[in-house]
Amino acid sequence: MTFIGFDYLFLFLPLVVVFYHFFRKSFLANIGILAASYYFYAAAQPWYLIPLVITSLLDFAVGIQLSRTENAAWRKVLLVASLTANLGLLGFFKYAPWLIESANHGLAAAGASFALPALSVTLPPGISFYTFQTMSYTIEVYRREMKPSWNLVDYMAFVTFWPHLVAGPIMRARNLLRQLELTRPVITPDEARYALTLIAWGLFKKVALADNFGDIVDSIDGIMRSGTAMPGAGLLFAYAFAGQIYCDFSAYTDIARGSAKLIGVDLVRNFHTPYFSASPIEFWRRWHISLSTWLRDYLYIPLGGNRHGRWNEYRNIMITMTLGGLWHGAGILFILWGIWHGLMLVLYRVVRIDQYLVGALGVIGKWIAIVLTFHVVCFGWILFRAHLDTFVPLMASIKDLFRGGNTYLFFLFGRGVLALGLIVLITDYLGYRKDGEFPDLFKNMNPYVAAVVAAACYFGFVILGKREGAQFIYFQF
Amino acid sequence: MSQVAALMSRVLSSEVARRLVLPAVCALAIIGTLELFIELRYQPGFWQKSTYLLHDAYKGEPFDRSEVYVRLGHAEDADPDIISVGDSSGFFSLQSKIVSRYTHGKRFISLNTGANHAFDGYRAIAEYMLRRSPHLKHVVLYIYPQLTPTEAVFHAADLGIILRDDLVSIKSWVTPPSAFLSPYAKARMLAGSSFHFGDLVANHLPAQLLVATVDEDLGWLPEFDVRFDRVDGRSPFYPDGRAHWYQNIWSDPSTVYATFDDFNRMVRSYGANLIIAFAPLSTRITQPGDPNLVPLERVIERFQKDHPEVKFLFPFRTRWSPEKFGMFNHISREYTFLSSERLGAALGKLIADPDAIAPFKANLAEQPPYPEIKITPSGPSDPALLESSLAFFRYTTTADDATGSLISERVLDLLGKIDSYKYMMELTRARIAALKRRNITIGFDLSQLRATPVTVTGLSHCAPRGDTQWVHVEGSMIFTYDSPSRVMREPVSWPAQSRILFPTVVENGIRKFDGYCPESDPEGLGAATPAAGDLHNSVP
Repeated sequence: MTFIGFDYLFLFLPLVVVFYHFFRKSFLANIGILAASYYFYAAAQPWYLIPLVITSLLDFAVGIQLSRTENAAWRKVLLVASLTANLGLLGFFKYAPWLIESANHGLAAAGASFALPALSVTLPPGISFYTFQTMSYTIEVYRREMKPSWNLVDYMAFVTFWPHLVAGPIMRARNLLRQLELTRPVITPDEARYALTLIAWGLFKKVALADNFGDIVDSIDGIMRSGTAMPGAGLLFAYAFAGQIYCDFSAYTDIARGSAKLIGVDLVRNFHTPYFSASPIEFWRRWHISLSTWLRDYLYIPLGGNRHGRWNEYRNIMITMTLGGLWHGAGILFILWGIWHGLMLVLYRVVRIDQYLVGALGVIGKWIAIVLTFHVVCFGWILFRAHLDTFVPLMASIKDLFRGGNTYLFFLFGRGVLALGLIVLITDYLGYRKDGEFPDLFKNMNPYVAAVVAAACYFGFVILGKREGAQFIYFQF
Repeated sequence: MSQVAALMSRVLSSEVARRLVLPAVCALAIIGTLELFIELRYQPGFWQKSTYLLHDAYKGEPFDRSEVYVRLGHAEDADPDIISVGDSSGFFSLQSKIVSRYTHGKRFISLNTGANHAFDGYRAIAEYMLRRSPHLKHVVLYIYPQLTPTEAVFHAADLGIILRDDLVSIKSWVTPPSAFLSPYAKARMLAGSSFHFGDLVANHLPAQLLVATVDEDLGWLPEFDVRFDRVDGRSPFYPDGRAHWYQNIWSDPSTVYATFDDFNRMVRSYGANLIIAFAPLSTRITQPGDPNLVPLERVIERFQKDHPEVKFLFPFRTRWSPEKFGMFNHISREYTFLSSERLGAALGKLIADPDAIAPFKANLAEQPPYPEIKITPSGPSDPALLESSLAFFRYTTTADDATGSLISERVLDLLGKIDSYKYMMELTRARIAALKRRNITIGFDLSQLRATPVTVTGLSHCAPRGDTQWVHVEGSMIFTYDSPSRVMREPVSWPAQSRILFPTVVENGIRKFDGYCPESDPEGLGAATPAAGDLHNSVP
């Protein structure tokens, strides 16, 4: 089931909300959430539940065992067992087919007459998210930052909580599990209105913006693959994909937060107008916040963080970002994307360009830094979305734009990028001015003004919406 | 009364009402008012506001969508007695008005679409029509044998579920009037192109022709493409298995069986009968030793045994000679009288006496290897050869006498004895006249085509003569459409690899088309493999 389906919006969500409010104070509340989450996740493919249930039960058992022993060596064994199982599961589904295929390419190139048997497995949606989430639970219990849950239903509801199960935000157990363990008060009318506007805005962003950006990306990708010359293709590809991935992923988060809020659960913010960042480090504080903080807390800091000198800090950044790239997908370009961001973060530590520009040019300098950072990020998006055979032509096409040639397609697609981009830019800027996101403006908005905005979202959704409603991008991760 | 008013006042002044319910009502009121305005102002029909047609500004209105929009929009209130649904083998090959000549007064309409709607889409179209048509008692599932409902076919069908949603699901009832504006707004905003409200948002010639001729032809369009090796192309049958074991728990392990079964139950739930008709195959299309062919024959036979009420009009494999095909599964425009007559005659037989249709029997003969075909150029390209080679193709579209005079006496004599051909030409003339009344002219520009004399070995001709000259045509065929508002030129590649061949002869000093040969077994009721030498372009 997907957030943009009629079945989700008009059947599933209302039923779950009504059920929850009827049984809010009873043990049935979390049973209902668990059952609904399983249905949401596995209605189409019931086998998706197998790895999910395995990883959940394993970490539940490990958590209890950790609380029962004070033996440091045994605790470490338990932790390693949990991490190995989770990463092994992730590795099997996500990386094994790619590694085998790459190995076979290598063997063929080396003239070997044999090949490893190909492994064809379907990647269960959201496996990267829920394995990270259950790992964080085990690590927090191991570090004694929280007590383990003894209630299997509460724990399973935490792991499978449907709004964030497939594409985050990656919630810490001490935050989400604690919320689910408590009887939460009925939400206020303002909170309900905010939740509904989050959902409406998320739907608009996904269907009207992200999917239309996606059409441009797919069209340019097709043009590049066909070998047709298109000056400036790389530039539009980068801008359009920047719009697509941001609108798509942040829309998912908005709908997730709105859905969770309707049953009184607060999910963490995952985006904070990231394209208004003035430096790479600021970008990672504003983009996919729950992942970047996860990587910081469970990878970068345990590696030593910035504690052992400059070079160790740079090494730790590079390791963290490279693995972050690999987390997104099995492919050399994902790794290069991670390395690119790692390099930019290291470079920024050497040259604080935004500070220099602000010092020299004031507000104008800040806007120049924002534009520069956006283009650094956009180059990364080309790595993220392109294919091995289209990356070079895309980069070459940017150079070709300044050499003349037929620019018909550039202006055709450019018009769409501009039209959609302006909507993103204006709404994000309104949020950025208030140090929040656009939907945050709804919180304090006059209810009737919010009603007009909601109606506008509706018409945007119907009139600009892309019919097929493409799947959310982060489902594949 | 005052208590009710007091209660209302208390409810309306409550926190929940003031901060949530009333703003929500306000939003709904704004939406409702604007929707009502759009409904009254533009009065969009079901098809115009169908979100199925929400426009993709960059890919244009894909033809697969336009055809459903135009044809179903036209047919939905026609209350036919018989419809066909299925893949494009029926879309391009069945002229509804010719089929109806054979069905004892029962009105037939072809609603075949493209295979990317597949069986979800075909089923949705059939169900949509069954709901609206009280006289509809026969649904023909007209499909190309290599596009039977296997998983591979379903997998490629990206439009099927969308069509089902829009036609027969809950979603079809909640499409708002403002969706009508979507294609126009998106084309304007994203691509900078503007269309009049109500017009099809499409710039290609087939879509325009479809709109222009839908009243006369009920949605039939001639084939434009020849993108397949016409004399010796191969395509496979797909395996009839399931990728996932759990899908077999509740239904038959054969996807073909389960899909036919589901289709049949739906059709019967409306009190109608399901008829399954397989389109003809080209003689050399089946791959020798194709492992999936015999299992498909067997599963269809098993289905027939379990469901005797479903009528199969033809065997799984009916082989027609290759020149009768445009694309591998589309009958070329000039031969559609044959495919239309084939279906019409079989339906007529069924209507007259349902028991006259024999139960489906599997043909377990496998395809042996084919002899080799060789084509060698024997001279330079010649424009005169082009005119004569394409005479029959063009004449059946334009009814132009000058073009018709380039068809050989032998061919004209044969065609003159065929009623369905005469019907087709009547329809052609009626279409041309109707278009002329609207100042629309359709035609061909041959300037980008080349015709080369060739010698051919491995193919035969039903009436070879000493002066028979084979001609190989290749290049770009440019289809033309001129109307007061549009002048369109649609170049379609007719590549050399498609090996488009025509036999020609000289009569009275003029080179003429001599390529038509009747099929020895047009309904495919006899042998699966044609007898040697019977067919033009067939295996000698």
